[in-house]
Amino acid sequence: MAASREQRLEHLAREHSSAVANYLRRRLYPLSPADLDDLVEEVLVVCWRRIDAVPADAELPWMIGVARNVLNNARRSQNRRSAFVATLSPAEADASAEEYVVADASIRDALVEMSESDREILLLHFWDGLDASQLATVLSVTTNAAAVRLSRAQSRFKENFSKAENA
Amino acid sequence: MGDVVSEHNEMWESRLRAADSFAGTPYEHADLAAVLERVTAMPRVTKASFAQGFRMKMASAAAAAVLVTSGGIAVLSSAGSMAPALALGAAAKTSVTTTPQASFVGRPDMMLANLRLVAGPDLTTGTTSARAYVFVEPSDLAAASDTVARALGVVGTPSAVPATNTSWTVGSAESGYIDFWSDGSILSWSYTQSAAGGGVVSSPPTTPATGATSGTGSALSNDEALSRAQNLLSALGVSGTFGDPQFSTDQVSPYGSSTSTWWTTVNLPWYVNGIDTSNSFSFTFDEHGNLASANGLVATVTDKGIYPVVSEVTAAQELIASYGNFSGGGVPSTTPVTVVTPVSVPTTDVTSTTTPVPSVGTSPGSVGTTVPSSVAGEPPATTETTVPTSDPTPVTVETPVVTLISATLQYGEYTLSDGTDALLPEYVFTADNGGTYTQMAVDPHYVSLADRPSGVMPMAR
Repeated sequence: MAASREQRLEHLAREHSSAVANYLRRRLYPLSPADLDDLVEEVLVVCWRRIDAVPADAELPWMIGVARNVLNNARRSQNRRSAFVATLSPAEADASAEEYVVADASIRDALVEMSESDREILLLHFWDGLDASQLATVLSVTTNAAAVRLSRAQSRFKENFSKAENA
Repeated sequence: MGDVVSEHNEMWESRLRAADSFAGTPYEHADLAAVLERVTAMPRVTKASFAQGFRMKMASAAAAAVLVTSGGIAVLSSAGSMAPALALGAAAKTSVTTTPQASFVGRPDMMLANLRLVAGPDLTTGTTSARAYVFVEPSDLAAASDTVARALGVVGTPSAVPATNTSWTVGSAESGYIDFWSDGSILSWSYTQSAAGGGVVSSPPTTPATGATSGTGSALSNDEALSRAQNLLSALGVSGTFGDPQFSTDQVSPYGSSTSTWWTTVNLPWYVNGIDTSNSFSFTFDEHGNLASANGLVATVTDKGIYPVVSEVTAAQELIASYGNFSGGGVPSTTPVTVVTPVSVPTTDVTSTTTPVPSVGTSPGSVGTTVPSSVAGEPPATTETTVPTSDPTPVTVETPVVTLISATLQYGEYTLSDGTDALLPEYVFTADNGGTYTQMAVDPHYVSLADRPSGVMPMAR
């Protein structure tokens, strides 16, 4: 007998909340436990509304896709609700937060030099642990396109990393 | 040679993974059982709602009124050049605003961590005044969401339209979904074809096509995207003006599809009375000109009168103090401010006033302020901090010292203690590292802000 929708939501929550929470707090830092709980709940609300649409073979990337949308919506407003979300469009040369949070100087410098889209897919892979197929779900692209993007991002990162190491 | 390359690859990969501050960090919701109970009590979106059509009741007269989103501003903004009663919030305590925000936009997926801010010598000590505004959301949420749905061509029975602050969804798999969030001050909405953001829907029926309607294999032009966005804004009943549009294009394949399409996104900052509301409308179109995703808001902006504005130096002090408090994690601490008393304030509008003041660096003591000693021309210092990494061996890194070198006054959005979203003057400090940091500029005695960032984002309750 198939699990009820309620049981499925509970499964999603228990199975993937940690990964979703880490995705969120990597991108909004520092984040209080209460705010993090609120964000995770918001993701679960969307999961519940569309519980029948959650792909069984891609639950985590689907949920991270929801979390990504939730964050994007929050960022629509520049200052709104978040004291931690950036506000103004900086020049390309502006400092990135990695300069402050990543202790490894070469890694930090290499990340800073990357475009936002390259950095996103790279960190989704290396920090959030998503493979090409899962990246495709999160980013709404084909698996092939995700793999190509990831490969290019890795190449750019490696190039930046080598420069940083030799600087 | 191959071994060297392999070792190099292993090195950067392992080091990149090790740089993840949250790798393996456990998480457990404080009360997951309660969350599940609360969430599963909410209605779900079903396909049946599509067949039933869009049946939401609306008070048509009210809808027409509330959706002229800022129609009242012209009248309100002319009211009163003298300071009104200024307690924006009723609460006796105030968090002293401190919303330190590194300017990593364009890179919003970034994290903040330890750094040490110091005020530079060129910040000024003059005080002034400026108008404050509040957002007021529609009184009839059902009618407002109905109008948004119609404008975007979305059909479906709303999952719920609550009487109190919360969120709900309208739509169907066929026409796409609109998520609404009401926080009692602004009604936000976000349109997507699927929860993961993929998918393309047909063009909104209320929007005349102004660009190419057949696939060309290339992205919709910026001009076409802008024209379509403007048509949608008109259909939405958005008043006010818009800042310079920002465009981006990307080649994507909707989830579950093997074909790709080009998406063109136009983002339009929303201005009211010439003031950047800190909010914007965003529309993404596929190469056929169909709407793929969008987000925006429904609210009016009301003038609350003129408020005293602290000096750059005072604001920098508050920023520095708060930044020190939350450096290293946690949330900004709050400082109680108990006086909420109307007083006489300068009547000159800040937008036309600048006050030359002594340089802090040349005479920091003469202005009656307490500024960290590092502001008076001291060379930037660094402190050392041991930070955890996934490597068991602690790594000692320098805490960067960032100097605030100049400030400009603009408007930013803040949440008051009563939950109202307000547009308040704020200083944007430019730092010597190229970053910018923002600090609310209204004298904290006159503003009662929410005691923490209120939810980081629209919350469902």
